[in-house]
Formats: sequence, structure tokens, C-alpha cells
Amino acid sequence: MVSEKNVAQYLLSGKDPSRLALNFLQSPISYGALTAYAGQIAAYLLQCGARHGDRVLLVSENSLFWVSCYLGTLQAGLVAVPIAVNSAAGDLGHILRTTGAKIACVQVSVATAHASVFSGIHLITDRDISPMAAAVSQQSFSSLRSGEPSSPGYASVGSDDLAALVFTSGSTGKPRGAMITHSNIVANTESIISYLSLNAQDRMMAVLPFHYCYGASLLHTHLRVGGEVVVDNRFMYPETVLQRMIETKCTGFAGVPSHFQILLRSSSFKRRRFPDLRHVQQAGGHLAPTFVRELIKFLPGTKIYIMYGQTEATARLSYLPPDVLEDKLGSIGKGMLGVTLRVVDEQGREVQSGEVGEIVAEGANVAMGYWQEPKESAVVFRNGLLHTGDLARVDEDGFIYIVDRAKDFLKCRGEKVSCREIEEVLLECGELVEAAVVGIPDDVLGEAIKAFTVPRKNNIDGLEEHVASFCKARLPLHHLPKQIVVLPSLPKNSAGKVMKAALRTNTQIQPH
Amino acid sequence: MLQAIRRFVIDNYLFGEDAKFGNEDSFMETGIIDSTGILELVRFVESTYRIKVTDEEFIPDNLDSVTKLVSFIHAKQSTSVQTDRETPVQFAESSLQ
Repeated sequence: MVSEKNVAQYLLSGKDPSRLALNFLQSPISYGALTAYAGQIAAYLLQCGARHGDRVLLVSENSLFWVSCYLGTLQAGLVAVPIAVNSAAGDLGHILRTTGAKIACVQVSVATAHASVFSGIHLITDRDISPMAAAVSQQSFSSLRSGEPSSPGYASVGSDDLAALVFTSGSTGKPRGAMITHSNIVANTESIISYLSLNAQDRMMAVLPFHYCYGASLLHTHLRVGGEVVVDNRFMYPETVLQRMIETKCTGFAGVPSHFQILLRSSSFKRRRFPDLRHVQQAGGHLAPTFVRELIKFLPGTKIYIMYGQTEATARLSYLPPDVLEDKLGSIGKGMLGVTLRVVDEQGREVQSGEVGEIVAEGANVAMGYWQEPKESAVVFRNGLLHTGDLARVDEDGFIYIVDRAKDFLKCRGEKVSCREIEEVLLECGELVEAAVVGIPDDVLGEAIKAFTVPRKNNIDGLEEHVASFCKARLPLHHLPKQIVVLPSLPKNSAGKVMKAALRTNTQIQPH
Repeated sequence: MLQAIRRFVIDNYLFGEDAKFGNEDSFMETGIIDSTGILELVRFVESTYRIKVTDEEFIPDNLDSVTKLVSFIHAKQSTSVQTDRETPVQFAESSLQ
């Protein structure tokens, strides 16, 4: 077994203990304090009887509790299983069973709402609550923090030792736990730091949940360089986040497409100035070029990084250098340092320039597979390569353009139609915040195009007709939406990704 | 007004279950509404009560509970004369064949 760096040690050791690591609304936390809290959690987990490689469930919004439990779990040589705070009881129970976790770090609101799920579990909550009969033991982070300092040191880890089971955000199908090792995280973190040129002066505004691999990557990269993460869970009120970004002199902001769409269509973002903002990162799905152009226009002097990644690759795989952003608009760039991205045909041969194939990835950040899913793992992680399921073409300069998710095509008149291409056209009309296209059964066409749209203005009189005529001028006849639905919002998962499965089945949408 | 807003929140975000939901409860802290949900709630309020919520007013102090929202609407209605009234929103599905 090759000895590797324990991620907690990689992130925390050697830091100036007085420097700020995390900036919460309630209070700032120094590296010294964070190291101490992680140590107390690690000591307590081991006291509960946890052994090397045991899984620890982590269910909390972004908080000091989350970060301390995550780092404490890794420090102790255990495996973190971070889950969205709004997970249903059934999903929590399923993940507890499949991972065999015997310890759960859970914020009080979740613990009390789903008390029966935590039967037979050692429960650690963020603050004190009355005893829960079903739990094997109970402890609160607030009590631990006020107790005696204690730290077991950093557990030794090998190259195959897991750091986390990260359940994919589940746009399609059931959630699967990607097995992420300590060395995966170290490799991905080093690559990201390199292309973003992050340093100790960087201060990231984190609105993405840390349970999501993209959110966790913000934490990993900024802690590694000795920078600061400003945590703000109030993005539903974007003005508060924008104001705090300015006040705390954030040098970075990271979001998924819906964050930028809300900022550009439903906030004062365009009217504000961000003198300290050095870079903006976008990943987690395709941001239509019309929004990227607006970011370029309204953020002069700020580098805009369009990126691509997958949970199965720890977080990130590629980036588009800001200096070619306008020339290569719509591209996800090329594989980042330490990652080889290729676009291959069904026989695994690289496609010619302009042809469409599947993106496959190779690198030290590629996960070991899915937890207890050997069949699925064998399909996705073939021959040491991650088969992403994303279809793309490559231009003559080697830049990769995603055409669509393999499953995000529809077949209209026997022809494959890219949902994304139609969504991009819809969004160019300027009256929409969001758009999502799905196929619906059609006797004549096979599948017809149904477009779900979210208006930017209150007054939607004639909107469908406006959108339809806009499309008519820009799309071939057989690519025109047969139905246009106006919704107040699109259904999204906890990572902010549009759930097309819900749109197809008409669940979790609330037309008025 | 309070009951209408409460009803909207319960019907749209709590799937009709209102037992534990208080009028003072923070939408944000309870997690019952997300960043697109609040846009939806504001659109409902704007169209129902004929007010316009500006970007700068889009803050928790004004919007983050049923009672805060009611106070905010009352204040808007009493201090401003609406000059640019918009027609009530009608989200609907239409077939464009």
C-alpha cells in the first residue's frame, strides 16, 4: 500500500493558525480553530468505536458543523458520506443501509424531522436536542466544542483508501455513490489550484452546497492555499449575497447555470461593481452563450472560467481559458492539468474534428467506481477510463464542445435532436430566465418537442406566441416546439440542476 | 392577505401540510423555499396585490416570512401609488400546433 496524504492533513497542516479559513455570517473561523474542531470530531468518532474505512453520514447545510465533521471524518481515516439536507427520509434510510454507516452527523432540523431513520445510529447533531430514543448515542457539536481539546492526529491512508462516497446528483436514475479516494481529492485540488492560480489572498464566495462535489472543491482548493471561504446560504435573496461579496472583498464566485441566470435576470448584478472580484467559475451544466456574453460585458476585468466536471471525476475535468472565451464560446475547453480528455466513437477511436463522440477521461482524479454497484461501475469505468456519457465534438484546435448528454437527445422524425441547441435558441429571446426541452410521444413525429420556459417578467401576456415566433425565425421546422409551457420555475435538484425526468413525467412542477 | 399568502406557501411548498408552519418562520432557515421558489412567491404577491418588488427590496427583512411579507406589502401599498400596474400573471399551458 502506497502511503498518501490524508486530505485533512493536506488541507490543514502548516497553516498560520491565526488566519481566517471560513467566514460565516455568525462568526469568522481561523485555521487554528477549524483544526481544533476537526480534531475534536475525529477523536469523538473514534471514541464511538469507528474503525478505519467506516462510513459516516453527513447531513447539514453549509456550516462550521459540516466542515468540522467532514474534516474530522477524514482525519480519523473514516469515509464521509455527504447528503443533501433536503433528502427524503426514504433516501436517507436507503443510503444509511447501503453504506452501512453507523454514525451520522446531522443538523437538528433533519434529525428531528426524520428521527426514526436514525434508529441504531450514533448521532452527532450541530446543537443540543432532547434525547432521541432510537439513537445508540447522542452528542452535540456545541458540547464537543466547549469541552477539552482533543485530537487523534491524522490517520495514515493508502492510495486506495476512500475519503468520501459522493452520491451523484441524480439527474437521471437512482443515486449512485462515487468512491472518491484521498489521492483523487489531492490530484483534483492541485489541478484546479494550478489553472485558477489560487493563492492565500483568494477569498471565495461559496453559495454552492458542500455536499455537492463542485461546492466541496471550493473548500478543498481554498483551504489548501490558505485562502478564505465566505459561506452564504442566502442565495434565494441574491441581493444579500451580492452585498456580502462586496463587503467581504470576495475575489471569486462560483455557480451553476441557474445562479448566473438569476443574477443576470433577477438581481442588481449588472448595476453593481465588484472591484475585488478576480475570477468567476461556472460549471454544473451548460450556461447558454447569451448569458456568458452578458457576464463578459458586465464583468470587465474579471476572468470567467467555464468548466466541466463530474462527480465521478472528484469534481472537475476541463476548463476553458478566459483568454479564448469569446473565440471558443460554447466550448468546455480542454482537459486540465493531469487529466486527459478524449472524444471517441463507439469503437473507442478518437473522432475526427467536427464528428460527435463520447467524452472519456483519464486521470488521478477519476473515482474507483460506484459503491457496491459492480455492473454499473464496469460500464462507466471501463479500462481505467471514465466514460462520461456526454456527447461532444472537437474543433480543429482541440477544444471540446458538448453536444448533449447521451440521454438528452430526442428523436424527431427519426432524427436525433439536441435538447440543448433548442434551449439555447429559446434563451436568446431575452424574455426567459430558464428553458428546458424534453421529448413527448407523438404519433406522427415519434417524439415532439416540448419546451418549459420561465419568464423574466411578471406580465406574460402573449409570451408563448412571442417565443414561438422567435423560434420560427431561427429553427428548422422540425425543431420547433410543439408545446410551450410557461412555469414560474423549473424543478431542480439540490445542486441546482434541472430535473428533466420530473419535467417528462410532469411531477414536481407547479403550473399556475 | 395573511391567509392568502400562507395558503400559497402551504399549497406550493409544503404540499398542503401546514401543521408545523408558523407565520413567523423564516422561509430560508426552514428551507421550505429555494432561490427559484422565492421568485415564484414574489410574482404571486406582485400580481395579486398590485405592487412591484424592486431588486433592492429583494431581501430577507422584507420577504422572509409570511408576517414580514404582509408588513412589506402594506408598507408598499400605503407609500406608493402604482403607476405601472401590470396585469395579473396567468401561468398556463398552451398547445401551439
